[in-house]
Amino acid sequence: MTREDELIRQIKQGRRECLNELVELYYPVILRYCMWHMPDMESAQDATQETFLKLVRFIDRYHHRGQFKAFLYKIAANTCIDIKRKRAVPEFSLESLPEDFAPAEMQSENGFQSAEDRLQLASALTCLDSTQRELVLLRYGQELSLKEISAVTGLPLRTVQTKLRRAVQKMNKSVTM
Amino acid sequence: MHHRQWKNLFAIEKGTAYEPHMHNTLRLVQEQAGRLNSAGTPVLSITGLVAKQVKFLAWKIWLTQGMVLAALCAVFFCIHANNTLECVDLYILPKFLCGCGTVVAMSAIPILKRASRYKMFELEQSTHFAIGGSLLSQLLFIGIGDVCMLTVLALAVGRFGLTIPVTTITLIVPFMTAATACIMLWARTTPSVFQTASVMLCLLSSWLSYEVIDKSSLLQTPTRLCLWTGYALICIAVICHEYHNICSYKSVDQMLN
Amino acid sequence: MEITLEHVAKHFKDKTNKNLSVKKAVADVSLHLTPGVWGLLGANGSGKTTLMRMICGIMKPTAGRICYDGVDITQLDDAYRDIIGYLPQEFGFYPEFTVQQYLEYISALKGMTDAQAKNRIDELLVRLSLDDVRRKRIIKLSGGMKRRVGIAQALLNDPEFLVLDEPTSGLDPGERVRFRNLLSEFAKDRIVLISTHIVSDVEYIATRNAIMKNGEILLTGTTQELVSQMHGKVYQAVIPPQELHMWESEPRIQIVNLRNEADGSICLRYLGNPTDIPDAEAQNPTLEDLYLHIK
Repeated sequence: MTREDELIRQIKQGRRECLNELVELYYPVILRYCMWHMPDMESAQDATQETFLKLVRFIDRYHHRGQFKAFLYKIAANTCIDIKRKRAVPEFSLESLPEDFAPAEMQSENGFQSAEDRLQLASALTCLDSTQRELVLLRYGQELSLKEISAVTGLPLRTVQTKLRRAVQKMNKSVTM
Repeated sequence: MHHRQWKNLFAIEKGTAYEPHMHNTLRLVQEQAGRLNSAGTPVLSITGLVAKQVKFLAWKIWLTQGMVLAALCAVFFCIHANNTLECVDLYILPKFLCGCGTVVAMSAIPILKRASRYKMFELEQSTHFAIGGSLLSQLLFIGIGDVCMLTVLALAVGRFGLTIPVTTITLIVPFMTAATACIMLWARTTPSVFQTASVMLCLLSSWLSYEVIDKSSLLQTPTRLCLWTGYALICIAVICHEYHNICSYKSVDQMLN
Repeated sequence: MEITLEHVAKHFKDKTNKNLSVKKAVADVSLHLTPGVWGLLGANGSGKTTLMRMICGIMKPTAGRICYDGVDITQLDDAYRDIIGYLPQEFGFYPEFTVQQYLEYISALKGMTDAQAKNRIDELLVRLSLDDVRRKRIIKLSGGMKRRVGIAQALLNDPEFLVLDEPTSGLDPGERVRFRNLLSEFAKDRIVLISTHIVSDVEYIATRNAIMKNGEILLTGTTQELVSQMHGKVYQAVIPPQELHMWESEPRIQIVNLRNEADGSICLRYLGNPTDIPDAEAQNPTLEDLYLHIK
């Protein structure tokens, strides 16, 4: 039994203090996910907060079958869609990457390099359709396994593999052009 | 670019900037949790559902199967009473057992059709356990009844000169074939078509099963047993797969049209 | 608590068509349901039942999503079905069941423990005046009583969201009024969605209505908002009987009601302009007028 399974079991038995540990366990990854989907840090934080509040609302009814991560990511995805719709935020564009974004190794180096990488990445992502972009973000941005991505998106594993391969080919093409 | 290069490009430094907001989220989460009940509402487990269904379903299913078994035994013992099988015709007996195996499987058809016949499918699908729960109960009770029926038939008929492997194969193989055909049709056809289609398919599969079993008698007994054991396991896997499809809404559209 | 439908569609293969084209039972429906009574009005074949089946999680949409408090219902699965009470249009029961047995059977499928089921069944049987017939077989009950058993099973799990598909079909006027009163009582802090083609069923109790045609929602709003669209379009005129056929075939007007008067003349209620029929008088429109106008 993983730590997550144990925490969920305890929460369902009424030990609400375990919610803190569960939130702390997933907060950074969900925030990172929301940062990819929202135009600024503030919106991303709002979306993250709303995701966890929805989780709490449904945790009693959630039946744990080892798919908690997928459950949480789907709530986050729908929350981002809802907030973007309410605020009339456009679909992914070159300006979509959060302002605070910077690749880990580059942060301590010159800002020009990180800005160039940011532009390159954003440009590569804009050439993808929404499904491909989501798969790429989950794979490379969130470092989920293919099986986990299949559970989150609801797509069969083979479809995830094929679409991801095509997405990477497209991104490579856009980078070389 | 290589996979690893893309991965590096995507890596976002995990800074400390998010912690103040996370603490705020934790506070709100605890406030929300405090408004909810301290313990969740108890829910019946699947074993609890099956146990409760005994009084609603099981006795009806077993009664139906009992009547079918009684009819089959009556047919057999009528023939025996007329001494037709005194000099046991080992050519007819396997055919009879094949037919019995198929009839045992077919006894489930009216039971499987009940939900759609009495317009209960839609209502059951909207409940906590959905149609999967009620179907699982039915299949479990039907399965228990079928095992009993097949055992009684094997004991009653098989002692007239047939070996255990032959008795087992001629009963189980057509039974598994017909059962698999029934569940596949249940998952894929409309209720109006299911009954007729399943009866016809079962009869066809009974004849086919006998022909194939007859041909396989050329094989050595251990090889035959391995072959048919493998076949039975495949049938069980197909039944489980079809059940999973039913629970995943793939059959709902045609069941409701 | 809210249920949101976003561009929900349901397509079936049209088996009646040789080319096996797609039939759009629900084309593109977006709705935002909040606590109160919602009337879903539409003619037979407009897609109401298919829409309700998707809302209850019985069928999966071909496109779009349905969310409960912002969470997709397909994620919640059985947890969503726990908060729903559904009475289908074709309400069935196994013939050997008594009222009590039937409710116990459904309560088990709804995941209720014995203790929960017993208390709830006793309470509902009293509240719905079925206590005297609890040991009677359902097949022997009158139409109105059968419907009440249907309502009872829908209320077993104390649902937050009650979905009723044509709940009053086959009921006499007295039963209908009784049913409306029961629903009004139940609807506090809950969402009740009633689909019907009988406008009067929802006209007086629905907080908001949605009118459906050909798989699409044409209009939504309170009864007042919807009815106000018909101001200046509903008239009544008295005509001699020999003119009836002429006015019936008049394309400019739509007759919604005609009544034979004691003196042999005919009183026509119609949708159109005041000048269409001489001496016509303006009438206060009703939801039925709007429904017939859209139909």
